Amino acid sequence: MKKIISLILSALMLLAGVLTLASCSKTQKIGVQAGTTGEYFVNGDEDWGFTGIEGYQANGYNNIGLAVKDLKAGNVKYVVADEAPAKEIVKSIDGVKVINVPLTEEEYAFGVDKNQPALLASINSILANKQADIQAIFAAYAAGTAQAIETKAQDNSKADQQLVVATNAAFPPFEYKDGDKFAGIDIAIMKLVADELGMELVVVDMDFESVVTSVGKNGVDVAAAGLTVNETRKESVNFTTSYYNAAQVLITLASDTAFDNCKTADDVLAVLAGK
Amino acid sequence: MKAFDVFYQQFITKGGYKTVLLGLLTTLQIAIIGLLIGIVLGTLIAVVKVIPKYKKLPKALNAICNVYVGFFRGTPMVVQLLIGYFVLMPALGISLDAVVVATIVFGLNSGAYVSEIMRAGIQSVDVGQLEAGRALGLPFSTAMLKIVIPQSIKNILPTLGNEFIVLVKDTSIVSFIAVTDLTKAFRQIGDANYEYIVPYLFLALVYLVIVMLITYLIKLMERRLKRSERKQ
Repeated sequence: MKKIISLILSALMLLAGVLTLASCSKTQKIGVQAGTTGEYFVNGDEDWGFTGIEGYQANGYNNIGLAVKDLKAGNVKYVVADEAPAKEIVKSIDGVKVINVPLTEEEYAFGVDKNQPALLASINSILANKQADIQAIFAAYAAGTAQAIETKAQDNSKADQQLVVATNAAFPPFEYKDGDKFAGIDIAIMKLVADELGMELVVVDMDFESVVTSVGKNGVDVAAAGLTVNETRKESVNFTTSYYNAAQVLITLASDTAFDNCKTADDVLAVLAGK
Repeated sequence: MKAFDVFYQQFITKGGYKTVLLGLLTTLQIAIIGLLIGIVLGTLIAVVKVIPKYKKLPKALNAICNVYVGFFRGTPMVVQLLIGYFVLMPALGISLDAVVVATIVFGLNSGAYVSEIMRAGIQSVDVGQLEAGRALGLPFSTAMLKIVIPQSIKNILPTLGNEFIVLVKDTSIVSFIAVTDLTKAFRQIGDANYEYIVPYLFLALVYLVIVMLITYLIKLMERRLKRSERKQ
């Protein structure tokens, strides 16, 4: 009996070893932020309608900056990220560039607690009626003249006077920490909403994977984290009208010239497939 | 030194140190209160487990303790945090501050580990000590509390200190439930400019200093407890 078990165990270990080696040699790695559209785009996901990129596998990082650092270290071949943050990153990190071809078409929207249809309606009407203010926010962040935003601490005793926003503040220019204050386009729009509704703005910073899950729990009213509208997420939150057209883009080393002639997403995917 | 300049700007000029100080406070609060909860719970469980067979302690109590220790030692702390915050709280319809939830989870988790530490400590005290106490007419509970446990604490102090150090460092996972602890605060500074080297090195340094302080405190306590020892 013992002999049989030990035989089975050693066979299993051998199999695991072979599988690991096999997966290493076949697939190359693309760095993404875990839980984001980029991860589903690389690995493929039915709910999102992505077929995945043949021969590549996503390496999920806690935030996109770390993924780009690992690209420079040579541990991943490319990084897939949202367009606006990608362009922000290449400004701060030397030696990488953005391939300026949108790989996807997606829309950012805010995710509102399903039990608060009134809040959803008010945010939608503010998004529709305050276009000028919202344009000004985008312009200020594009020009780099935006100010950090004052927020309050969460206080459960006055939950109805506070707009509690869940975010992942590692996503410039949409949300990030500027010193000890929050800043970013999403935060600024939420500040506008809170002011319009006469509420205090509370921002809770958490890991991106937790942002959608947290809505409706423990006082969180809205998720504002550069969220792409998507069917799976619609099960957890009600999306507002979208406020930004986003896309995934590829980040490569600055020395990489393989994508120089790419004009469409298909061109990029063809180069990726040809390796 | 671009990396350092960027860090200096975020940390000092823009006031990022305030977040870091608050984070430090949160980290220490979770670890210290967590350890206190853990010690109380752990001691209770350890006592339940070492109570002799002739005592009519309900078997159910022992079984509950086994399930509790099994669960909290058998699952990762991150999972416990996520279950506590995102599953249990909404299911029970209560709303607690994330820091409170983290503290409770850390306390419960630590309780499971401390119970084993305490059990080893209680068993390390010669059984004659308990028997002598009982022979003098002390009830079991008094003999345990006044004779056995004080001696066992002396034996387990280094291990308990270890547990505290582990707790302090494990708090770095609480950002999963939206708590801004020391790690999260430094990560935010790094994320703001995608410059991670200096913030992470500083973060490591702060943890190192905390742990060295704890080590020193435990040494002081050990020295104090040694005073009762017979001089050889």
